[in-house]
Amino acid sequence: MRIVVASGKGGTGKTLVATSLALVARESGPVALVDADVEAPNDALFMNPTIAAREPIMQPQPVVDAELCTHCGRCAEVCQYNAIASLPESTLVFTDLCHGCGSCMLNCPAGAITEEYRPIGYIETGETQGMRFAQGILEVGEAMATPVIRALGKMASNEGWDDAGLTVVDAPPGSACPVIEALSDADLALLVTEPTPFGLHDLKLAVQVARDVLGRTVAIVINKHGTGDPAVETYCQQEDLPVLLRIPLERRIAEAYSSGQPLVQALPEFEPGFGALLEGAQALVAGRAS
Amino acid sequence: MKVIVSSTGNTMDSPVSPIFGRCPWFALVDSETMEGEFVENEATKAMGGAGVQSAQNAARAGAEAAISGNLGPNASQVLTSAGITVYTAGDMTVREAVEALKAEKLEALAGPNVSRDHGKPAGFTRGGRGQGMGGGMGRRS
Repeated sequence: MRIVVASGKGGTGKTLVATSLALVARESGPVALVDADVEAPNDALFMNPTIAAREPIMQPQPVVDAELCTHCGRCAEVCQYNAIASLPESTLVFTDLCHGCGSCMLNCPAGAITEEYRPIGYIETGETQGMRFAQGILEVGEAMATPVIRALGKMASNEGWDDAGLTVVDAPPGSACPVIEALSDADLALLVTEPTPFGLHDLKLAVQVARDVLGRTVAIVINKHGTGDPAVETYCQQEDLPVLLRIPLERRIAEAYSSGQPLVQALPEFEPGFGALLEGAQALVAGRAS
Repeated sequence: MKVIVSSTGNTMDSPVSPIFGRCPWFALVDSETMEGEFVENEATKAMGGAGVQSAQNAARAGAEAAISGNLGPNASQVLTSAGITVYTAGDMTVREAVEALKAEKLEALAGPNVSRDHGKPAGFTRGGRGQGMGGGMGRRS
């Protein structure tokens, strides 16, 4: 089973939830923790994993042979990302706009385009506290997080992590391509929010993506509970979204977090809550499957 | 000489657009006859690379000079590669700007004068991080 912890809004507590959920689930079976927030992966700060392997993620980019190019403009015409400028006497490729789709190469009538691969990031695998661990890291200056996240998901699938037990994926924030990629093999999208107008606004976007567009089963965690206003609770009731855990806003939680301790290890009284979250998640996925 | 001008409208008396890649109209003006051909800029709808596309279209249309309020880095690179000199024009109409160019009263740009995504409207976010970066508690994720 794969639970993807996502949020819409940043700073709601995805890492807090993902790390503690993985630690609690470890008691009842094999668990893997995957940090797919490749622009700022920080599960490792809490889990101190031992990294055993590191694999570069290569991204294709077109290279134009100036001798063969006839400057017909077909490559720029088929490029959906405006990454190529076909000029009367030269052709320019903008690699930071290129998605590596290969359309230009396939469509070039002169056969003037080939692909070159360059590393845009890497994935690391290892283990921590009896769990399998993986994280993706996007190189500074690279714009395309999705290929790194895709490589992480593929690796977890190929290694059979989901079949062997539970995989907890810590997704990037937002509601665009990187999150959609992180949610691609999710059995459950666990959306972490906070009871503020910002939290609600971005939660709605995340629900639209995870449930309405991708058809995932969605459950909610409300962090910083007791602050803000009741609008998130009301929205969850209206939309029939189960709230599986409420984490209060408490200084000691923030202190444990800021000192790099997973919540359930710093404050064990939160273990039952995360146990209930796991059971609730399992029941939702089982209910969906039957 | 053919001059491409980023324009806010489709007449010679429309003000020059302050942005290049995502300006609403392009005017291709013959500086001898002072006649302009106006093309609606398809790149305004692009999620990214509007400057690349607009600059390429200008080059393929045979422009030898360009006039715009500002110019971003990608468009600048494309126009430079195509051998097109870009001039800046502030509060002028398309007609006034081309006349000023002919009178050598416009300043040529040595490179881009605004950063990328300068003319990109809100909502055309590139990454997934924009929605919530630096959320309430000062953390990022």
